[in-house]
Order: sequence, then structure tokens, then C-alpha cells
Amino acid sequence: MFLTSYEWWTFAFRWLHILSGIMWIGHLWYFNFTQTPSMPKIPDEQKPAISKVIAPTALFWFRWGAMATIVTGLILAHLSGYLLSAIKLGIGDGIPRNTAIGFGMWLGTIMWFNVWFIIWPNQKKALGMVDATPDEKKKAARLAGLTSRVNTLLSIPMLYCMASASHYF
Amino acid sequence: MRAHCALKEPSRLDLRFIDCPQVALCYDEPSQETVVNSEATMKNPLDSLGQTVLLGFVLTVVVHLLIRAIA
Repeated sequence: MFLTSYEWWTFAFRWLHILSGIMWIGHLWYFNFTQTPSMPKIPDEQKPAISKVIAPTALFWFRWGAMATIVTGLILAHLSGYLLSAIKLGIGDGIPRNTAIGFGMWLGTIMWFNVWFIIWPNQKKALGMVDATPDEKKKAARLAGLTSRVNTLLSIPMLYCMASASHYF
Repeated sequence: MRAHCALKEPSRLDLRFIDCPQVALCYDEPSQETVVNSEATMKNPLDSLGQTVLLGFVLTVVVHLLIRAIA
């Protein structure tokens, strides 16, 4: 019975980790490559369709995608037996794969923190989901936007680490 | 920014014939105030999607070298 197989569960969490990672990074890139650059080209009367309907839904799947990615990633690393080694970047172990996946894990963890503790609280202000003065909204939108750009930047080496750990190092 | 007229410094030539007493090639030399103001209003590189992606690739090279150095 495959459900009692350790290897199957390890693979199942790898599969779930990839699914949720695509959900997260897909939305991150949608915000940075598509939505934000398109906003100035959208007529003012049509902008609420983005800010009131599409963005809140995208942010929901974005942040929960981030949560699912980190949870499934930690379980996967534990099941695969390299969690602690990766956390300490493989230092002293001499296993390049663990160093690579460790860098990926730390970059992903920074990105997850940014999503839940900087981007989401500030997007709530910027989108009017919580009370804020116009000045606070402006500052919140700027901080959320810059942090989202930081995550876009970090996603490039993060995915390099994730892929290279299995396919290069 | 003052327009200067000269036939020198070809790398900084600007084909603007502003305030030139004679038809000549001009180049711009920023004043001290201009330099200071430019720095004050310098945009964050993260405002540019292209620069963000470029920095991402640069950081990837750095991370790769760190992995090689540690492992």
C-alpha cells in the first residue's frame, strides 16, 4: 500500500511544496510583472476593479501560498533528513546540496516573513481594508511595493538554490 | 545645469546649440547644486523592474560563489 510508504509521503510533500510554491511565486510575479506596471495605463474609473476585486483575491492566494510553501518545505526537509543541516547551511557537513538548499530555505523564509509581516499589513492599509489616513495609505503602499520588489529580487537566487540543490550540486 | 560650448570631450558631446556664441557642439556640465539635487532625488533601483531582475541575477552569482566556498 503506497500510503504507508515513507518514500511516497516524502514525494507527496515535495509535490505539495511545488504546487504551493507556484501559487506563491506566480502571484508575486503577477503583481510585479503585470499588475503594478499596468495600473498607470488603466483609466481611473476602471481601477477599482483591480484594487477592490482582483488585488484582494490575488493577495489571499499569495499569502496563503507563501504559508503553505514554507510549511510543506519544512516537512519535506525533515522527511528528507536534511532540515538541521540546511538550517546551518551545511557548514561542517561538506554536503553542497545541503548548503544550496539551506540558502534557498533562508531566502524563502525571509520572503515569507516579508509577505506576512510587511506586505500584507501594509496592503490592508493601502487597499482600504483597515482604517488609515491618506498619508498613511500612501506610505503603506510604497513600503508594500518596495518589499514586494525585494521578494521578486530574492526569488531569483532562491529558485536557483532550490533547483540546483537537486539538479546541480 | 549650464550648457558649455566646446569642441573638447567628445564623450560628453550633446548636440544642443544652447547659449553658444558660435555654432559649436555643446555639452552639459552639472552645477554643484544639480549634483546634490540629483542625489537627493535619485530613484530606488527597486522602482525599476529591469534593475530588480538584474540585481536578482547578480545576487544569484554571489549566492552560487558562497555555496561553493562553504561546501
